Amino acid sequence: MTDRMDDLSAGEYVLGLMEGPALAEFERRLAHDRALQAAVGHWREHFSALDSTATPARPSPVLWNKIESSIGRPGVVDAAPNFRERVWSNLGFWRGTSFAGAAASLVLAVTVGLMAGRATPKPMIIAVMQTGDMSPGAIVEAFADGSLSIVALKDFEVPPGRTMQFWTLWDKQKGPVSVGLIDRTKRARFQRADLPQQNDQLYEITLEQEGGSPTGKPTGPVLVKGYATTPRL
Amino acid sequence: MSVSELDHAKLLVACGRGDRAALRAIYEREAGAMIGIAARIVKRRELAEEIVHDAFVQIWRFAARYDPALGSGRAWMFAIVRNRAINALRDTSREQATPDDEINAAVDRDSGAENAFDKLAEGSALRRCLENLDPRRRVAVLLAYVEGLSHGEIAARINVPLGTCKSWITRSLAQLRECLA
Repeated sequence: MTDRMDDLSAGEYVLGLMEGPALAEFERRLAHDRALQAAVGHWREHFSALDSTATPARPSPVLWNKIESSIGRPGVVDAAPNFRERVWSNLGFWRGTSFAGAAASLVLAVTVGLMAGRATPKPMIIAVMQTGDMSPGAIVEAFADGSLSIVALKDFEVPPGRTMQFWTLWDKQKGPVSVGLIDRTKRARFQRADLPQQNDQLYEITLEQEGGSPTGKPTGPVLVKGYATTPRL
Repeated sequence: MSVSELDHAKLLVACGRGDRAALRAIYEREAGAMIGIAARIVKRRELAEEIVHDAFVQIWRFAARYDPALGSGRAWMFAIVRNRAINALRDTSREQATPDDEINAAVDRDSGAENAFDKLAEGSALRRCLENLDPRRRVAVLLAYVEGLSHGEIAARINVPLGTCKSWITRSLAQLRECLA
């Protein structure tokens, strides 16, 4: 059960009156606090009676098409790889070859372009995945159409007979969910509109046997991991 | 839970699994209502459609997070529309208001908050509880929900100091909380 102050805050939130730091703090709590979620749900349910008083309008004929193209078509891979992907495949990152200094400066250029958000859609969330020694290993970007891309920041050794598997975790009870295998010959881009993209969601890459983890959950060593943040672009 | 509510919950679960036909079914049923809700807030039809577009993309992506235990699917989806519309309103109100906007706002005064209250279903708990509020305080609450106005905008509209406006709304919420419990 929520206390009175929390209930009133939830009401203010549902009315749309909360702003600035108070709003950020409330949403941070709301993400984890079940009682607060219930309080918001309670207010929403009652106030939604007012939603029914709005006069409906006929959507323009193109609206659905726009929505459909924004959520992306399943199973379609970009025909023209964008700049980042070209750099990505040139880096030879997943082949485990060493590029040392050259790679580092290229990566910097890629990252700067990425942060400026030019020429590509704005990612909904970004996660910097770190290695065991806490150095940045790779960046994940997830987009509104459900696509995810990985940009390498260092080289990884993948022994023969093993493969890298990309995972995400947003619900501890559900456990990590496989996003896909990172095959040495494929681009590191995934189309998974079924997966959420939220703040504090965990992304990680583990080393698994060829074909992926036999259990459906990570079994091998973690190469990199990191938490998602909404970019301030 | 009504039959259509059950359908909404089922459709959202299906969206969570990547079923595009389910999103289309939601669109068929609710897109019109959503445009109406967004238009009451942003006052511009074109912008309202953009908001509904973005809301559908968000519904699609976050459908798996919808939890029926925390409320109806309809209220969940409409909250997404309202949040987006309010964000758009806050962004545009920082820009200079044109004379046209002011005219539109004046026209919409009649079709906004008070009108929404009049159209509330007789016998709904919200209507009964809002009726108990002092009329000016009730308008303050309605301006927030229906038109998406901020504390400052509501204070200007009903012509009271900001502090008074804030405390009216807080006390109204406290009264509604008791009444709706």
